[in-house]
Amino acid sequence: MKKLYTLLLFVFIVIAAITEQGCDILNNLFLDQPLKQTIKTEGSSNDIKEIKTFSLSDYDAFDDNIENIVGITYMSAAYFTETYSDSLTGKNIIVTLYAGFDDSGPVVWSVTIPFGQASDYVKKPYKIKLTPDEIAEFNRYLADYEKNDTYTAELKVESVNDDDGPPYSLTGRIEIIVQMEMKP
Amino acid sequence: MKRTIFTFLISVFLYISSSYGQLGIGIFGLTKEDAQSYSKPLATFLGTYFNSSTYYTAEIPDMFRFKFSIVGMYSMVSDDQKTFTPSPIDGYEFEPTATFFGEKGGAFLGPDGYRVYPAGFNVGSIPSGIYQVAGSFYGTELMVRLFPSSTFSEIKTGFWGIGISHSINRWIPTLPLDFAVQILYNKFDLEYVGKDANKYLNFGSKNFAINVHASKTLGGLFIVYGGMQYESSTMDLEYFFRDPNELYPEIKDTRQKTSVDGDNAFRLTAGGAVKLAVIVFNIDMNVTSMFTVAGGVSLQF
Repeated sequence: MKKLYTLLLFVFIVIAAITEQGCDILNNLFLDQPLKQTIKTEGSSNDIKEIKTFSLSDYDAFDDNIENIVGITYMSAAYFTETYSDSLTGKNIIVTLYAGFDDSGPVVWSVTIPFGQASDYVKKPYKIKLTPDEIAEFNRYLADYEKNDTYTAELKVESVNDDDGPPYSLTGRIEIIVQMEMKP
Repeated sequence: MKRTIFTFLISVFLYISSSYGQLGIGIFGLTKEDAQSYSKPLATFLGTYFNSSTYYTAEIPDMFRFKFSIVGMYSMVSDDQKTFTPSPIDGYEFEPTATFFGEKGGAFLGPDGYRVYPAGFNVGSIPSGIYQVAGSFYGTELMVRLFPSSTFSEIKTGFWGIGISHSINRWIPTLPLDFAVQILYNKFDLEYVGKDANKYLNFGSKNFAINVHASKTLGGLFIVYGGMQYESSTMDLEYFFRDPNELYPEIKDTRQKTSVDGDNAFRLTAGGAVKLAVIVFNIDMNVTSMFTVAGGVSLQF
């Protein structure tokens, strides 16, 4: 009987070890999180611009998993035009991301998007291409996500004009995809 | 002994808890159609898992016999079970993205913005274990698996399973091998019972199988066995939809319900066992949707 118990104990341990290995096979999870910001620019001057501040903690996936996050990296970004004043023309659309609560913070990256017709980027996204240096800089901020939780996006339209005159307006949407690496 | 059993059970449920987290994170952002595709391999795995290791002999005596078995399994995930292509949407060019067992999720840009799909476990094989008891009389055996519904850190889970086998030799005693038929049903439930409404997840896996199996005992010590099995699995899912892509405001922050069938269909099993007094060791290979090797030890008297 003693041998039987020893044998059963051995088998239990083997099964437990196999099952515990099941826990070890869980690799870190990668979750892509879209950060979407819609910004309405409006004004009567030559250039119109607006900013919008957002935090990573505004997003459930970040907030819920903050204790398990081991890193955040930039993946990709795009710009869309949502609405605009009739017959709006302009020279460039400039999208800038600042670190911090307003546009006085350091510039993380900035892209200039050619403005052909106002409808160019309605339902037709402009894929933002950051330089390797800009990606590295953005990733540096994201890596320190507990300290750099807040960013400010700026949408600026240069040399605006409209047949109907001012005020001019353009609402754009910036989508940034970041990847969160989380412990299982 | 109690401590070892406790370790075993806790390990199982740590695994389940981690799996829950993984499934939850993945599924909260998916529409019903994509949630089905994402979790289908999980339904298949549960079907494979619960329908494995249900016999090692077709010999069922007329006299009373008791068995207590502990079984370990190793299931292989094939490459095609690691990816799925999202449901088509105008203006988007989708490529394969991870299922529950896959690796990287995809982010696809189109006219409504990015559509982001979750990553998966990134595993190629899954170890697992289960225990069961059986008693037989008059050529019929009843097998029972049970883990009473219990709560582990906001997750309520439990399972039960039942199997009935009957000896064909009882009716046709001249057969050269032992033959038996077996019918099985297993049910597994897992539900988030915490306070955060946006973490709600509930899934129930129902698994059915019917098989005919045969065995030959050699010298009273060795058993060679094999069988053919039809099996099916269904997983009912209910989850909180968060709409991280901000594309479905009409169903944002609502519970979504769906059901997904596993790819389980037919299984061929071949294995062998060694009987040492009241202890039986067995190992078998299972050619099914997920190739599985199972081995166990049983106390039988």
